[in-house]
Amino acid sequence: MNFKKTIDKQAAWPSPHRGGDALWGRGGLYVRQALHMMREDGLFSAIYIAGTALAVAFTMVIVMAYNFKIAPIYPEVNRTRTCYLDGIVDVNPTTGVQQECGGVSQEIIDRLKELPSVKQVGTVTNFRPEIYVQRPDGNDEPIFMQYVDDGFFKVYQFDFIEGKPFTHEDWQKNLDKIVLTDKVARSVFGTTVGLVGKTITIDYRDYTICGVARAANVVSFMSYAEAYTGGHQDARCGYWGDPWGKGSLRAIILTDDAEALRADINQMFARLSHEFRERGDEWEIEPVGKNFIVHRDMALSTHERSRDAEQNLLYLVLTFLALLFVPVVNLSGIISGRMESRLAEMGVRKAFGASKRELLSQILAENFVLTFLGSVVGLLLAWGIVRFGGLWMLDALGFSNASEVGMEDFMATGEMLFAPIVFVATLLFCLLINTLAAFLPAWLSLRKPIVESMMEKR
Amino acid sequence: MTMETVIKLTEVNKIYRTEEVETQALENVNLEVYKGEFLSVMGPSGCGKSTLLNIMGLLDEPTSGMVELCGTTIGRNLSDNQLAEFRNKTLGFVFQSFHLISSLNVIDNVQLPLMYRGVPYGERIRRAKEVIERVGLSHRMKHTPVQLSGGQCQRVAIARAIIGNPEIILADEPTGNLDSKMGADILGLLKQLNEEDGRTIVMVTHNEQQARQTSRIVKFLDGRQME
Amino acid sequence: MRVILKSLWARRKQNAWICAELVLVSIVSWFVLDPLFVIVHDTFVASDGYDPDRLCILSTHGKEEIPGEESIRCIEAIKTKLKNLPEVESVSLTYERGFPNGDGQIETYYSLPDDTVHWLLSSCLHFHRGEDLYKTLGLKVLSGKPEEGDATITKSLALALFGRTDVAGATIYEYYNLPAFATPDEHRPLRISAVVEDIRMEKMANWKYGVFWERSNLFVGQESDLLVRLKDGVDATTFCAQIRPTMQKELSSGRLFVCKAVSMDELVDHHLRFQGVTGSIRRYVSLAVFFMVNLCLGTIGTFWLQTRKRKEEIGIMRAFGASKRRIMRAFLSEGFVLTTLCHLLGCFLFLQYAASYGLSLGIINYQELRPFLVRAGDTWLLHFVPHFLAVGTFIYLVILLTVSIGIAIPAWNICRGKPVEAIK
Repeated sequence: MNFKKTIDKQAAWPSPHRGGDALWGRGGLYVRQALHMMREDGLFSAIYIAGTALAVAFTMVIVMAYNFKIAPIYPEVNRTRTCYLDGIVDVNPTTGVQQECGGVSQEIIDRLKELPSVKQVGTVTNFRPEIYVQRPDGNDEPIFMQYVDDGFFKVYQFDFIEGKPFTHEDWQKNLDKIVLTDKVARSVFGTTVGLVGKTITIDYRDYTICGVARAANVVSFMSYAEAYTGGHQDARCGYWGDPWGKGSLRAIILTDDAEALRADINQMFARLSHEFRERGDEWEIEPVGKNFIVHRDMALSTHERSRDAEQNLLYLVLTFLALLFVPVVNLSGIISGRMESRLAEMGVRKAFGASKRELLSQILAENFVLTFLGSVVGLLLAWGIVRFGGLWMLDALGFSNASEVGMEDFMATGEMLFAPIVFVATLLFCLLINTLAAFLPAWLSLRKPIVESMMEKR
Repeated sequence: MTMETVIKLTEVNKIYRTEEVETQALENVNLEVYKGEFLSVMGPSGCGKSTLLNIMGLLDEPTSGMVELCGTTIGRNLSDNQLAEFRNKTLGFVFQSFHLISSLNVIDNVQLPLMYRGVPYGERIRRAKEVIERVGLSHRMKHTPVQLSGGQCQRVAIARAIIGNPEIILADEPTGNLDSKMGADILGLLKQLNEEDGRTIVMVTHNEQQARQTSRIVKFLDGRQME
Repeated sequence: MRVILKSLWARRKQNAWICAELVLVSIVSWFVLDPLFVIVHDTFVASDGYDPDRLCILSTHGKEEIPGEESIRCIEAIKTKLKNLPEVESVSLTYERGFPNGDGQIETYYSLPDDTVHWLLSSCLHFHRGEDLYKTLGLKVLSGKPEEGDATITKSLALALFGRTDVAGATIYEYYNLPAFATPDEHRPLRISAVVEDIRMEKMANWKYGVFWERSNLFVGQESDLLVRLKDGVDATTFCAQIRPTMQKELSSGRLFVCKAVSMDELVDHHLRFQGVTGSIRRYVSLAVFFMVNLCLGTIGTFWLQTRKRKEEIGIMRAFGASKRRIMRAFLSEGFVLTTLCHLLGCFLFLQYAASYGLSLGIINYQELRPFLVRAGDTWLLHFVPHFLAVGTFIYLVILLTVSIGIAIPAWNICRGKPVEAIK
């Protein structure tokens, strides 16, 4: 072959330019090199992938948990528009004595409904008795029942298999109508159909079944129960209320503007306080503080922290940073060690014209192969933890209500596990880890002069 | 052979400084290398010949003095990226310990300089196959360095050095790790490159016999040029 | 040792990075493992003060409203049925969920007579007189006789009020309001009948002040709780599971029946979960596992790499006659010295933080957030020095184990091969 002719042909090439390669060509080279290094240095690759997988798994479990708490989920499909008023503080302006209550009275609820920023109001009592359903076979079985009003079924969108919720009139008249979930219906009657109009005895009191609805997921922590009945001003249902707004009810409010609603509620409280003064009472109602909360902030709070949204968000951010920082430092150490053994290679590449930017891109790209593998493993691990973690996992993630009803009602559905945010979050986290872990060690090692790098091999 | 200077070193000094010791590797070196010549640099261990090659190859910078390559003065006026580009276009390297990338196969090792030049993938592969054929290793294109003998590794290194059609090839003891037969083969290949397409080759060597086969010999001792 | 230190000093540049990493590992481990240490101690090691084993709580319920006298009769009948069961050792009727983890305790102020300046907040449980609740609960009486007086107090309360525990017969005042604001009729005197061992009203509480007030003629409602102590060898959880299917029928009298049976373990479990304590503990454990796995992976990886880099050195040592054991000992000794020095430094740095903010107290029970609450101080974990030393030693052992694995495995692998391979 005439070598000289070949060389002359090169003059006809288009003018060379840097970075003009098809991505798949260079990218393919990096992937092949990364896979080769994985096989060569199995231990470090395993440690790297394990470290990444662990960080991704933990982070994604937290992402999924918060997604369960915040994203619309049956029947709490209006979570983004939902607020709660679950307490009131009366104060004696003369003595400064305060009386705080974890619920409000029916009067407050009725006035709430008149506010312009309110679209819908439902109520739930704070009463959580231990009650039993008297089964047809003579045995009693514990049941988790919520005492609600008709507005509850307008705020939460239940799927009714048959029948419908009790009406406002039913509720007003305390007609002992009940909505069963399919779970209880199957357990007690062996079927979910043909039950409307039938009687069920709970705590030795007869209720008429007006509807059978698909049970909520236990992570729908505000609406979950096994049966729902009205308890309008009935002491047996734990209802109480005093003339100053305190009571046993929690309000669930749908609104398009939470801040406007907060202002409206404060105005309402101010008007009520004025009425108290006019009739000679010594109490006033304090403006709402933590007792009024939007769903997202409620979901972010846990038992040991207050409902301070900023504090909770800060805690969340710090948790993510900690979950990111520690593995990044570890992985950086591993990559730093690896870079030392590749110094000679880097020196040779530089000798043949590679710029620092090109080498950095190469290292980040090769590293991305490992990080990506680790992220995939981590995501699978996260799904496994959520799907099979059971009560342990739910407790750890702050769903303490799960203990009341057991695990059979926790369903990690496809929409929960495969929500787009999970994939987006995984990818972002993967890129972050990759860049943060690899950039500094790579940058530091590439600063070494070429000759020094190549001498390492000798 | 024309008398056009491709490499010019003027009053070049190189001093290595560590915490405890200062070593003068090169002292007042004045050297010109002409286009198309095959220059041997000889001397005992530690005489500075590898340092000389590194400075010529812009792999290291002199402590003082001037370096000119193909009419361009190399100094602090050029950034790292500019130096890298210059090396990529003008120089090719062959090292004693081959310095092949063990995780890449032969064809990937060879196409490296063209990749950094931004040549499209298809063109790179085509060209790589040509030069690999030229050095007689077509049957080993998909092999990795661990699967090759020393001589074969050095052939791959030579193929890598010439794929970008550089003006100058710098070879640092290219036969140092090879037996006499393989060494002779490699030297023959280098001579072919020099004679057939007029490449300028600067070779550092211990081997007197091989040095005599080149067009000029320069000797060094304790960092100073002897003749 | 001289050789080891010389060797470490010779590679001081590399070792500087390793030291920095080890110090960081030590400090992070403190933050992660200290709370876990305390939680494990509180959960598994610390005494409850009573005997929770073989203890069940059975709750009664009426089919409808039942008058008080009928309730009393029915409850007595149910108690008799229970006592006749072969597994049961003793049964006591409680008042208003007045037992540990029952949430039945009230908080009241106590002081020495006529002292309105120094007072202590304590939990108080009311007991039906004659129910022998001390025996059923398994409270250890330290002095006096519970049946001879008004109230029994815990050891810590006796020490805090009197400075000693032999205070049977002494009197304390109970206040319904803050003593500083109490009127003369807002307190009552209580004669101490006995002093008992400290008791934990809630599982995770380190709060040891308690008063058990035995009273006659307390109201007995249809919603009552019976504390049942089972005989040796009978598991409470299994017993409860066995009686649940039939208890409404068999443990009933008239219109009253036993509607719920839980063991103390189940009650504690439910209690902790509902308070969010279980969730908090599991979060701590999860994060601790996460951090420690990461730290261990990182530390093992670093030492593994460093050891592998010294392959040639090992080869030369073997070429010159060193045995494999000698080489292993040398490398492990270096790791030991590095770990010890770095952990000491890490502990010193953490001490600066701990001196200001204190060491972990575990899961803080919400009740303990009251500013005027006085802590009982007989748990060794509450003393700074033993706590610091114990946790510091534990962390040291964890790091030492990790470092040893990171050194021993690669060193042994290299030693196993031929010296010439190592030197190559």
